[in-house]
Amino acid sequence: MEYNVKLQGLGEKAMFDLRALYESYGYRQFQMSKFEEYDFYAQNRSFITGSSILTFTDTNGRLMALKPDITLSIIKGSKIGKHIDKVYYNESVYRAEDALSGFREIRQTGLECIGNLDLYTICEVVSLAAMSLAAISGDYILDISHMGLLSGFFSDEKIPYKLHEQLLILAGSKNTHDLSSLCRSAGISQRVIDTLVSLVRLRGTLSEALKELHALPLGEQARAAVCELEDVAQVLQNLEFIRNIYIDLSLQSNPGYYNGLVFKGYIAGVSSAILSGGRYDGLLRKMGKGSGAMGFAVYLNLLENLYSSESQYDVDVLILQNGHNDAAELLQLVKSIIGSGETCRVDVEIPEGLKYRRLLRTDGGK
Amino acid sequence: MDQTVGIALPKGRLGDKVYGLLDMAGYGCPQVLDPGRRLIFESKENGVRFFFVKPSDVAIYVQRGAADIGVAGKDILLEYSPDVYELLDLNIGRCRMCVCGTDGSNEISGRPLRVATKFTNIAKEYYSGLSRDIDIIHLNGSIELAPLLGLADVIVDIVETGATLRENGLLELEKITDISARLISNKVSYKFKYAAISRIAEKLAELV
Repeated sequence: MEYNVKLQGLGEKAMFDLRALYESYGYRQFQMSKFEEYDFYAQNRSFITGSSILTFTDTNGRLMALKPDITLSIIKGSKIGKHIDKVYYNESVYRAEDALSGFREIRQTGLECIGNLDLYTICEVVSLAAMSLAAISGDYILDISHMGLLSGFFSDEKIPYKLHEQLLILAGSKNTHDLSSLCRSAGISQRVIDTLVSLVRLRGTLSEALKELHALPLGEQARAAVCELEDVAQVLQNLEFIRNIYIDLSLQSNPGYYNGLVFKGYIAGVSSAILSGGRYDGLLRKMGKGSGAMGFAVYLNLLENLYSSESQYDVDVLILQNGHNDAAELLQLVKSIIGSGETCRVDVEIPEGLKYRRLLRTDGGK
Repeated sequence: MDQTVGIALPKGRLGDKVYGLLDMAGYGCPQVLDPGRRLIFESKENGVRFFFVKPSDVAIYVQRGAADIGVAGKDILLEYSPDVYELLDLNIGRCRMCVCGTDGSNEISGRPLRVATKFTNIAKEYYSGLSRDIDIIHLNGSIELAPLLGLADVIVDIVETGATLRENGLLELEKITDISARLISNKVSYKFKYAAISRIAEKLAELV
């Protein structure tokens, strides 16, 4: 089936394309209710982006919440066995990203793999993330990082624990000037500061970045994270999308939940990450499920902004008729216009406010 | 993707200084010096497009991708925490964020300290770090009036030379942090225009 982007919007087209992509890799759709008990989210509040949750009291007096997150519900419903639970979803979540914007419905699609993850599964998830971006736009970038690299470096170099959080925040904004000042004031050696600055500034394709990482004086724990990145790079090296994947160690997620590989996806023209994911064994452990998990979400609502900024017209061709035209002939004309890839509307007069690219008159007017 | 780098600069003295730096770095745009009624200035040969906005709005333009890079004061970055990269300390527009008031006015006990400020998030964060209970009073201007009229015990504000404080009998009681202008970048633009943006940052770094 072919989709008309002008008619359905990029978000809707992406939803269909991504569903087909995930199903082709054997992922089954996970469907869920719109509500969960509030307590469920309260226990895992720090995992949820932004902290606001929309609540209401159910008819039986229980405090309920409109889903602010999907991953938590999938983990709750997953059955841990020897197999890897592979699911995808297509749902809306409701949350307030900040105090100013208020609550919003956010359309998400994505997938989760829960079980004992091996190298193949990790690479499959990264590949599907890259292919998801490619399905939306040819101009995309997938940044990957490893949560163990900076934290491993801090441990290897015995950087005081109380500085870790602040250093990760500064690294996340590539703020190497304040990061250097903070390290200097804590008495950290210039050699360690220089290496840390190089790690935070590092950006390149997998092969370029790994080459740079090998040249840096890293300790055992940071080196182990580099090896994991290297394993993934080796598996992916011959795939077509490899040139769109970059290593950027400033990319960090909540260390309480995420471990191992994390990634974010971007497409040209959308001003924030459209895809976000990674490995989150920590969340699984916190929820009492001793296994591994990895997944990602694609924020389809961001595509609507891209579509609205690109779309100047409501319809490509507006045909004006007078009600006395040959209906069969007119239908044929409309069909041929739509068949050539344009959208077409027939009316007896120009609707107020309608933006059209081309006007065709079959009503005898000029 | 169009590789022209959109640059949001703060209107006023700081913006003029930053434009001077960019001009020296080879990113000038002669139209800026003769603006007329134009709002956007483009130099195709240097691959840049400038526009001047209210200083407190620069970070929003950059975060939302209307500008690829911009220059914002550290005070604005601390107050609003925009999701942007902070690439360089330009070491200009230097001043400090301070707690000011009359002598001993920050040492009251028995009730929350009344703090008047434009920078409510910075003030809350600072006093939360000290585990001190405060009553925050948000003002938009003439902050120095608040302690003089008994509206607040202290103010949290930017101090450059301290002359206004002295003229009104106020003192700089505690320094919260140093402030200077920072080069910021939209995170997505940084990835898609990496070569151009990092070259601008490198050239500016050589000048500051």
